Order: sequence, then C-alpha cells, then structure tokens
Amino acid sequence: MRIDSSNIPDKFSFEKEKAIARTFAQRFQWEMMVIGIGQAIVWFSMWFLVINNYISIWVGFFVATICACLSYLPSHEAQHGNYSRGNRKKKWLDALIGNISLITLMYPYPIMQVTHMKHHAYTNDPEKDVDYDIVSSKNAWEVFLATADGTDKYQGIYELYKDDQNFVDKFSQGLLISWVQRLVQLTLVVFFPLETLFLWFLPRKIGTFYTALYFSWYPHKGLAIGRYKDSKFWVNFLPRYLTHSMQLHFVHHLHPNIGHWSEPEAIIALKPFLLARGVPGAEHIPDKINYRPLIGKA
Amino acid sequence: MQFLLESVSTHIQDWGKVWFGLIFWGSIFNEILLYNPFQAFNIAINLFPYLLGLCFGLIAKLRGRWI
Repeated sequence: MRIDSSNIPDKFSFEKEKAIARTFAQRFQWEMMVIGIGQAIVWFSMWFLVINNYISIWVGFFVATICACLSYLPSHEAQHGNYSRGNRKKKWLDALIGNISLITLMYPYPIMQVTHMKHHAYTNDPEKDVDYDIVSSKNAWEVFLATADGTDKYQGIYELYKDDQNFVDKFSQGLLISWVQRLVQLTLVVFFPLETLFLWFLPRKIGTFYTALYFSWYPHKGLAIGRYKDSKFWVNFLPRYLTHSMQLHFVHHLHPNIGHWSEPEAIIALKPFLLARGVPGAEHIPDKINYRPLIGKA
Repeated sequence: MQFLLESVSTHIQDWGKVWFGLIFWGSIFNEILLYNPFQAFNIAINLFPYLLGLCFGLIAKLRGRWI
C-alpha cells in the first residue's frame, strides 16, 4: 500500500512507526488461546449439562451467549497468524484455535480468514469491502438486519473474488465446513429442538450481532478510505474487555500483527505517530494505561 | 467432484431457506406444540408445525431474506 508521507516529519516516518509496532508483535497471545479454546469447551459442556438436566436451559442460554460473544476474536488472531508468528511449524496452532473458536458462532474459519484479509485490503470501499453492508448501516437495527441472514452474503463475495485462486481454494474448504456445520445443526434440532435453539441458534445470532456492532460497524462507521482514515479510536464507559477491545480496532488495521492483548501498550507508544497522521479519535488516546486490559484516562 | 460441489452449493443457495424452515423451525414449532394440552396423536396436528416451518422457509426464499 502506498502511503503519502509528504507532510509527515521524519521522526514520525512509517519505518519508525513500524519498528515500534513490531516490538508489540512478538509475544505469544496465550490469553486469546485460553479464551478461544475455553469458551468452546464451556459451550460444549452446556449441551451435556442442559440435556441431562443438571442446569436449566435458561442458564445454558445465558452462558452459551457469553461464549458466542467471546468466540470471534481468538479466531481473528488466528486469521492474522498471530499465534504462529510466521513459524511454519506452528501454523497448526492458528488453524486449531481458528476453527475451534468459531464453532460457537457456526462460521467456517477458512472463509472468515480470506474474507477478512479482503476487508483489510479494501476497508470502507463500497465495491470491494466484504463488510461494507455492515459499515454502511445507519444504526444498530440495520446492523442487525445485515447480520440476520448469516452466511447468505458470502455467495456475492465469492463472485467478486472468484479470479483470486487462493481465495477460491480457501472458500471451497470453508464451504465444506459450513455444510457440515449446517448438517450437524439440522440433525441436532430434530433430537434436541429447544436445546439447539437456546444453546446454538440464538446465542450465535446474538454473538454475531454483538461482534458486527463493535467490530465491523462502529470502528469504521462514516469514515473514508485510506490507511490512517478508515478506522477510529473511541471511548465509552465500559472496560475494554467488555466491549471486545474495539476501541483499539484502528491500531489493528494499521498493524494487524500486534497481538490483541498488547494493543493497549502499543497505542500509548504509537500515540505521537497517530496524532501526526491525524488518525480519527487519536486525540482521545490516554497518555498511559492504568491497568493492562483497561483503557483509562491518565 | 467440482460438479458435485457446485450442484450442492447451488441447491443450498436456492433451497437452503426452505429446508431450514421445514426442518429447523418445523422441529422447534413441533416441540412447542408438545406443550399444548389439546395436542393429541393426530397426524394433521403433528404435521402442522412442519408445514408452518415450511411456509416460513418458502416466504424467506421468495423475499430473499428472513427478516
């Protein structure tokens, strides 16, 4: 990607920014691995506990919904190869966590991976951004409508990128996984109708909506196309963790290899660069963080 | 193999909502109907939830979306 640095002082050059960012792209993201695998284990256990009447279906629904809300980000780290960190011998770890973590949301990891790479390449582009249906939503209800039909939009995305062989290969792999997931769900619903509704279908819909709202919509809403223009920093009263850390989504778009749990430290270190580049909302970045998983004013 | 994959994909794309309505929503409605005290082992009543699910699926297919 070509970056216009004509008005940027040398001390805020892209090379220097990248060098700082790289220092936060080293650590193994064990927290995300624990969350990804952990939520899947908890979610599976809900089936056993509810079907055998150890807990009520309402408790199961509540826990399964939390699992669904936690399931995308660990897979997202895998999509960027942030577990293997370029080590080919550890690629299996990306695939393992990426696939297992997404079972709760019933999304096929290979399709999520290739489409997410296209989102990074064409963020906010009305023609090419795979998330543009969500990005262009005017309000939360429109986000809900955009997510309500699950994987329906992916056929159109396939048509858009069918000349990209890597995309087609991954998409085909993901399609098979998607069919297996659908078949499993349709089999389960025959034998365990209400359990399938309350432990999988509804939590999945809520988790998808929640993720789309904080992950795909708000960080990009109303913004332009361009490396330093397409995502914003924002704050609200909730701790970072409860909002899926999406206040920091902009730094992820700038440097996707920074580990999710290292992003708070990274934005503090990169703040002068982000201000110099005029990143939306950069002026609200605090000067220091008060507790690692939380963002608070200094 | 490629032909098979494309055929299944096309079928799911065209008829996925109908199958989902029939099987998924039909099963859910059927389960809910079991709580109905007036429900008897009447084939007409037992088919009703699946027909309702099928209708939901057909409507979704015609509209192109569920909601």
